[in-house]
Formats: sequence, C-alpha cells, structure tokens
Amino acid sequence: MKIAMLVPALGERDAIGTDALEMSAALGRMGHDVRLFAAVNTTGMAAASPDAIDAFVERNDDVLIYHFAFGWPPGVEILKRVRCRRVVRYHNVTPPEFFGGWSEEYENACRAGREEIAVLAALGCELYLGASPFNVDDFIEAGVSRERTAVLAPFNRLSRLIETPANLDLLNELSDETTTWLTVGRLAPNKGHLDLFDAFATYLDRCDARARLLVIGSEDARLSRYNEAIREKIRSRRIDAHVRFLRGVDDSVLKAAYLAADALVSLSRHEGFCVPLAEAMALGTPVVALDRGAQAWTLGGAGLLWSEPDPSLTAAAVERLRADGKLRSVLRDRGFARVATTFAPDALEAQLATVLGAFR
Amino acid sequence: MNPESDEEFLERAKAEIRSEAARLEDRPLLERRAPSQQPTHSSASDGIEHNRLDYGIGELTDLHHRAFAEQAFRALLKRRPEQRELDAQLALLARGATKAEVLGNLRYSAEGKRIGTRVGGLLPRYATAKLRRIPVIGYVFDWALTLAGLPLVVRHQRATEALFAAGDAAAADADRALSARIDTLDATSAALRTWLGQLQSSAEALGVAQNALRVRTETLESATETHRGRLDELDFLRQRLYALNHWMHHLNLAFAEIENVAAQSDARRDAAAANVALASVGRDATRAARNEAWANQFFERVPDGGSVLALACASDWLALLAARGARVTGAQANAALAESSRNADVVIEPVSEREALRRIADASLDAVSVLAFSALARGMPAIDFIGEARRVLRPRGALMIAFAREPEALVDALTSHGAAALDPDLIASALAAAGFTDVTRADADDGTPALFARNAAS
Repeated sequence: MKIAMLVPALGERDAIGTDALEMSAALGRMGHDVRLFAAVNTTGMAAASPDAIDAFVERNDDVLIYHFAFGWPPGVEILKRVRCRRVVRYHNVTPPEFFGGWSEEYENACRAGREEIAVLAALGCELYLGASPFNVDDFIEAGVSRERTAVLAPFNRLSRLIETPANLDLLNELSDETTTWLTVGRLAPNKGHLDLFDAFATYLDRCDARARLLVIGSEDARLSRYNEAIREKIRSRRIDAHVRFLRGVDDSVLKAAYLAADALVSLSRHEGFCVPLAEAMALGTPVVALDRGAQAWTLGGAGLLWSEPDPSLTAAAVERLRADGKLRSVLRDRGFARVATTFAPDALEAQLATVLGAFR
Repeated sequence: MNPESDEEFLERAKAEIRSEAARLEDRPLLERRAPSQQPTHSSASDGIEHNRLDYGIGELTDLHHRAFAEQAFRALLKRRPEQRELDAQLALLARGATKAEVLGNLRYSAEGKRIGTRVGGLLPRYATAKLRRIPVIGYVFDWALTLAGLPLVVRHQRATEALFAAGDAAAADADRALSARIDTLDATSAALRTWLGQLQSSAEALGVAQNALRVRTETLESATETHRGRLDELDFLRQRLYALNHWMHHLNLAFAEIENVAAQSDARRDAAAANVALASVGRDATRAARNEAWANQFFERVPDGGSVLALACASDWLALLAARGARVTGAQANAALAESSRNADVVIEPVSEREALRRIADASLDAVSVLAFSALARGMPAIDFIGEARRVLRPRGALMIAFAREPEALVDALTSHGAAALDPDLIASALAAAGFTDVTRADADDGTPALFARNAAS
C-alpha cells in the first residue's frame, strides 16, 4: 500500500516530527511504500514537497496521513482534492485562551488552528487518529462519528532515551541528600510554570529548605511577556538560588535529570499527550501531575494526579514520595507496565497495524 | 483480613497526602539554604564537650606536655588554645611547674571561673603549688614536703628507671621494625619508579589520544554551530508559517463570504426562474394528454413495479410514473424545482443528471426517461448520456427520450444558459449506433418529438 505522510513542518526532535518519522519507519517495516512530504524540513531525512503528493497517492486504495497540530490551509486543500483514503493524525491545538495577554501572534495562530478542526471534520475523512482520547473528543464534538476515530499514542524516542548513558557529571552533582524536583516542557503559558514555582516555594518553606528545581525546556522569544513573568515569579518567591534552567540538553543530560529527580512535577493545564510523563515512567521517575487534558490517560494510574494546582498538595505529594519507598515502588511498577503495553515501540507498531487493518 | 490492593494503597496514600497538605501551613517556616550547602558538623567533632562541667583530676593529668595543655583548655575553657596561650603553658611546665598549677591557673582565671568547670582534687594541689611560690616560707615548705616525700620520690625514681629500660627495649624493637619498613619502602620505591616509567609511556599515548579528541571536538563544535544555524532557520520559518496561516485563514473566510453571497444570488435567480417555468407549464393545455400518451407507450416496455430513473421532467410526469406502479427516482439540482417535485412515492436526488447517473450501479435499472432532452444535454454531452444509459439499464431495459418544454428547459432559457438544439433523428441514429434496439420515433399529437428504444439484450 502506498502511504503519504504529510507534515507541515518536520523537525527531528519535536514530538510531531518524531511521531511522523518513527511511524513512517514502522509502516516501512510492515511492507508499505511510505513517503514523507513536508513544507519545511530541518531533518536529514528525505521529504518531498507537498505539491508532489497527488502524483504519489493517485489510487483510491492509497492512504494519506496528515499530521495536524496547527492551522495550515494548504493541508486542508490537499485533503479536499486527493482521491485516496485520508487519515487525520491529531496532536491537538492549544486553545487560544491560554495565550490571551501573553502573545497575540500565538493567540491568532491557535484560534485559526482550533477553527480548522471543524473544517477537517466536515471533510469526512476515513479516520481521525488522536494521540489520546482527549484529542479524539475534539473531533467527536465537531461532528465526526466515534466509529471513524481511533487512539494511538505518539511514536516516541523512549528506547533511545533508555539506551543512552546518563551524563555522569550531572548525575554526580545531583546525587546528594537534597530533594530534586524536575519539570520538562517548553516555557509556554498552558504548561503551568507559575503554579509550579508557587508549589516549589511552599516545599522550600515547609519541607526541605535545600531543595532544588530543575527546569528543562526552551524559551520562546515570542512569549517574552511570559518569560518575564516567570523571572518575576522566581524573584518574588525568593527561589533564585534553588531553580536551575537546563536548556538545549541532549539525551544524556535529560536522562541524568530524570534519574536524579525525586519527582517529575507537571502542573500543565492543557496537554494532548505529554511526552515527558511517558519518559519519566520509562525511567522509573515518580510523577506528580495535574488532572487536565490528556495527562490522566497518559499516566494510566501510574502517578499522583490532582484535580487542582494546590501548592500545599503538590509539595506534600513530593514529600511523601521522598519518604515512602512502597509508594515509589508501586508507581514505578505501574509506569513500567504502562510503557510496555502502550508506549513501547513494538506496542505502538502493533496498535498501528490494527488501526490500519481496516484499510486493507 | 484481605491484603490491601495497590489501588487501595494509592487511594489511602492520596488521602494521607491531602491531610498532610492541610497541615503543611502549620509547620514552622524553614530558613532557606542553598542546595549545595553541606550540613554543619556536630560540635563533638572538635573534641570539646560543651555540656560536661565535671572532671576528675586524673583525667586531665594523665596526658603530657602539649596534649596535656590542649586538653586542659578544651576541658576548662571549652575552646582550643591560641598558639601564644599554648606556648605560655608549655614554658611554665618547662620551668618546673606542676600540672596542678597549670590546671589551677586556667580553672581559676576569670574565663575559667565564668565557665565553672569542677575538677575533683584540684584545689588542694593548686593551693600547695601556690604556697611553694611564697618567698622563704615557700622554700621551707617545699623542703619539708620534699623530705617527707623522699621515700616516695626514690620509689618513683626506681619505677622511672624500669620504665626507661622498658622504653629502651621498645625503642630498639621499633628501630628494627623501622629498618625493616625502610627496606620494604625501598623495594616499593623501586617498583614505583618502574610503574612511573610505564605511566609516562601511557601519558604520552594519552597525549596523542587527547590531540585526536581535540580535533574531533573541534569538528563536532563546527557541526553543532551548523546545526544551531539550521535551528534558527527553522524558528524563522515557523514564525513565517504561523503568520501565513493567519493570513490564509482570513483570506479563506473572505472567499467563503463572497461565495456565500454569490450562492444566495444564484438561488434567488433559480427560484424566480423556476416559478415562471412552472407557471408556464401549468398553462400548457396539451401537456396532460401528451404525457398520458407517452406513458402508455413507455409502460409497454417497463415491467410491473420496475425501477425507473426519470430525468429532466416535471412533478406531474414523476407522479404519473409512480401512479403506474414504477419505483421512481428523479434528479433535480435546482432547489426550487426539486421542492416542486417532492412526492411521497418518488425519491428526488438533489444532484445533477450526470451525478445521478454516476451513482447508479451497472445494469440496475429497468427504464430511463428524459422529457426535456435539450435541458439534459446542456449539462452532459448527448453521447455521454447515451453511454451512461447503456451502462445503467438492464438488458432490454427501456429508454425514452422526448424533446418537450419541461420546466428545466424553461429555466435554462430564462437564466440565459440556453438550450442545446438537438435533432431527434440524429439522436435516434446515435442510439442505434450505441447498441440500442427497437428505436422508434413516436411524436405526440402536438408534434413534440419523442424516441423509444430498448437496451441491447446483453
């Protein structure tokens, strides 16, 4: 079967690029003729221009998989005109409200992306493939019947992270009696960093005055107001000496941070999947998270999940994790099981084969 | 009792965390410390027992010289001596002062009194030492005490001689052990020199490897720089992409609005034309008789209850076919005409004639009728229609083509699309050429041309 993988912007290390590249590789192993198409490509992989897509998937039984994470009218036009079967791979679009007051540019782009959900739903594509049930709900609300939807977690780099040796310098540096909090994800308003800093300050004040917080994630110059708000929060809560930003990290540093951390804390308010949760589970790091977006589904019971970003609750959860070996053990076992059954490469490949089985 | 399941355990842990969180604010506020700060050492590590204020004199006098003086400061003043203080006490001992005098000097100094350490048996010994320092009386007292203690001094002298003899023997043993140790160290030193030579060789090899690594690092740094440039480029392109998306979205909205206005205008125009056309058809006095006659001829070729696709016709023709027991499907793209054709016994597809034919499977109809063939021919070439009719009709299926002024043809005329002028005889020839049989022309009494034919047998 010929399968065209269409991605507006293909990057090697971002979640969407990783999903598209790994999914292509998996489909190739299944014996399909897969070709990548991207308007922007910064990977070393070969990817053709979207203009060439019609010539590739010309038969009714070919398949086009379109990765949708923000508004891209050319993608809609391609889906309208091709004659093959169409799959919308949905990674979620952040609602524009999260960017209100922070970035007009992001607010407009997200609004356009959210409005495109209805447009794509009306096209009547053969399958709407969400990275989580939370994502699928967007299309069901837009009128797509549940029979035309399926859930498949994103293909990922967990295997590579597990196999990569951890950075020993960082591991040594962090291996002391000090409590280490970790948060991973780009600095954006929906990610809940301001709540996180409040919770961490509470922990310093009441539980461990020497604790540290590692923040792994890139700053976005277009979110300068939000970046400044983060700096102001750190100053006002007097936690400067305890918060450490790690930017541009490679897998070895990322792995060392996960291994040294007492908990990965994610107070994000909107996630279509949240890859860091899967990474933490794969490496046995306990998770404390907010029950918003897809985070509950991604964790699958393998973390401490709270319905509100209460600083005391978050701080008490980390303190309990530090003190309770059985709790850590139960969560770790559940996390390993969750990864093995749902996020491991062979599990994902089997699920993908099942989903596409209807197309044979 | 059943053991607690993981689920129950987690629920219990979460409940306990909640209650602990509620009590968190009651805890005292901790003083912040930098994460790398090491915990302060306990006071016991410097040998000062701050809380102990009671000693026996033997505990303090068992030690000698410097160790004695340092321990005296730690026990009596609870601190280490400064160097000059230590030197002064050692000089006192060198001048023949007793240990009791040194201890007393410290204990009964202003600092020692403030701390108040008790030393059992110190006071009489200290007083005796001080008495010996008084001129004349002290000298006599010292002589008297020395004479009284002479037997004890002699015994101490003998014990000291024995102690020195034992010390000489121990020193000789230590000297021999030391010589042996020096021999061992010499051998070890020779081995170390050998290893050192080997290490120098290894260091040279490491130097070569280090140079290779440096070259590789520089290459990697160069590659990293290139990669960083590409990331910057990606960021720039993403920004442009976001902006482009925004513009495209608004452009699409504008186009949609324009198309919506145009569609509304078309709909109004089609509705008006349809009203005029339907009124015109209603005034056609010969219409009912003509249709009745054509229906009679048509149903000679259609089996009872047969499936009929009726194209380019008005509602009266559809009703006539349905009344005669046919399963009728019509097609009407004009919304107003479709509404006028609505009939409980007829299925109206809101699509063009071409699309209606395209949706029908091969050899699945008993008959096809077209009343205004010129209107149909505007939307699809006559030759294409004949081909499609051949495909959808069963073997021996009936085809009727008339050239009447049906509402659709009138609407075409009113909306300036114009109607195709077609010669019935030419169409008859085309039907025969396409494989239709029994092609007959049966014009109505008012002269409106009509053709009847059957699909080929196979």
